[in-house]
Amino acid sequence: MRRESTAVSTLRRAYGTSRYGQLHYAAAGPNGTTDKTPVVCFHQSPISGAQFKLFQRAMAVDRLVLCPDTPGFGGSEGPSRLPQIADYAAAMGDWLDGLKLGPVDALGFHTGTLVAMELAILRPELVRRLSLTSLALFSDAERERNRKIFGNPRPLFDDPDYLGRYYRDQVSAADPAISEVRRLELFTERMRAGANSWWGPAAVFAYDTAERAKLVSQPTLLLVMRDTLADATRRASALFPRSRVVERLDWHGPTAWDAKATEVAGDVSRYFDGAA
Amino acid sequence: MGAKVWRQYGAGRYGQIHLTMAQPDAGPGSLTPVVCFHPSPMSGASYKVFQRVLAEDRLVLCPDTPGFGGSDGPDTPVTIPDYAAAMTDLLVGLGYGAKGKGPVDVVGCHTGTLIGVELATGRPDLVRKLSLPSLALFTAEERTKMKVQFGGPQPILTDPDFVPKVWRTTVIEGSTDSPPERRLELFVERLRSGTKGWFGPEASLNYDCESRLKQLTQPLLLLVLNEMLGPNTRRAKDIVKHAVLVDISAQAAHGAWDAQAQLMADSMRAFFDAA
Repeated sequence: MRRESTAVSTLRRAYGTSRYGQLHYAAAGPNGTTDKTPVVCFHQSPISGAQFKLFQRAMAVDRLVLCPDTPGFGGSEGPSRLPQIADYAAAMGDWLDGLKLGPVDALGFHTGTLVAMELAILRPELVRRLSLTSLALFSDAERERNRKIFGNPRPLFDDPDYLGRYYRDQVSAADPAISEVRRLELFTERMRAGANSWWGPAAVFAYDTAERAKLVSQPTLLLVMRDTLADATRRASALFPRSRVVERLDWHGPTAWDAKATEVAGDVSRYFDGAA
Repeated sequence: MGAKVWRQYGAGRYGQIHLTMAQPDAGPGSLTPVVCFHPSPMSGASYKVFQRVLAEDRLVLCPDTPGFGGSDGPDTPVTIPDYAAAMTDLLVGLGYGAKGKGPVDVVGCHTGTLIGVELATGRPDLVRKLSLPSLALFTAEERTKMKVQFGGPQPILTDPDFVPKVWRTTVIEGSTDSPPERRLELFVERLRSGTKGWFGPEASLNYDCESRLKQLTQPLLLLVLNEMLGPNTRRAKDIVKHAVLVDISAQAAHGAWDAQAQLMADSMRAFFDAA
């Protein structure tokens, strides 16, 4: 049985180390001891680990939950040149090595799905199980179309109206499923990546998800939520050697980490704690 | 000479306090460390360029005031003594003070000058000298007037054009003293305090700086810049007779922390390191 959320310790932020410099993360866990495998959550770009703040608290009632900021996002120092997903995953490996936690369960959303699965491939001793939502799996045509839209620099300084439009989309006219204060917080996290914020999406569109998925040996939950990548996530079950699909189409992917935090934590916990 | 820069968290009464540290590559050296308190609603990142220059020969700490940047903050508006008390927690936790590594030198700008003054008068064992360009010294009448313009909550969420307007004025049309990427960085730091960013200016406008300045015993550098608080900074010399007034307004304006970082650092070094 899951413990009440009052058992969760205060969320604490800290810095670890990766090949790109300091790596910022938030950690939460129960006040008492736990023998459950720690969970690491890899976020969508260009946001940060703060994307999981509410989910992290819900998930942390009975285990340690770590939400790192991908290098170049949030509070983490980033590379000086356009990286690949394998670079992000290797940096996360550096960070986990420094923490000496042993194997973890890895969860990802959008860009974070690829960082999680690539870490599982590159460093199998570090990852016990995976939970992936909105897997960034594209056909060649989808990849090319998305690359043109999201995989290039944003016109931050060239288009004086860009920020106003972005703010409207993300905050003032965005989905009211999460509070306006929280939307402002997430918008700010999006902006923290600065002019290089497109590096995360660009790395996604350069990654061969279909081929790499075949190399994942760990048990993998494909948690399908209502989102642009719902069908891709479902489709991926044919690629991952040890996958299970759970459909939650009544949950909206981008807001469920807040609006359905407890419910999502329940599904993910059951999978991580169940028989493989 | 270069400077090694890193970020870390300390502890204060409102939770974690985020700070950026910088010191010479070879080590902190023997000069008194400097702590820089920032204007609000910004963060310690305001000093990023200046910090690296000053840290070529000493340890320089730039904390984020509670509720700003990466620091946890109070839920309701607080006072300048509250902010100073949280900074006391941080510095004592880092080992400074009479029973530890001794005092620090203080730099402040706008709200940060008041935190510096309050810290120095409340905990004289923690502060050796102060350098306060852009001192937020206002008469009671000025404070009343300024509250009309700057006091109270900002319409950050109630006016959908508020944030885009801040973007336009500070980034698109902002001072070319710093590159657009740096202006973007400071815009984001400003946003990080969210709907509570007004707590800092409110605390400043409720603070009786003049009364506290009269209690100040530490050496004080009043560095006058060509910016809105230049005249206020100059006026403080009439209150703190032992203060040293240095006018660099012909060379340095509001953007001097970035654009004239070397001049700012050298002016403070001359004061901090004098006998």
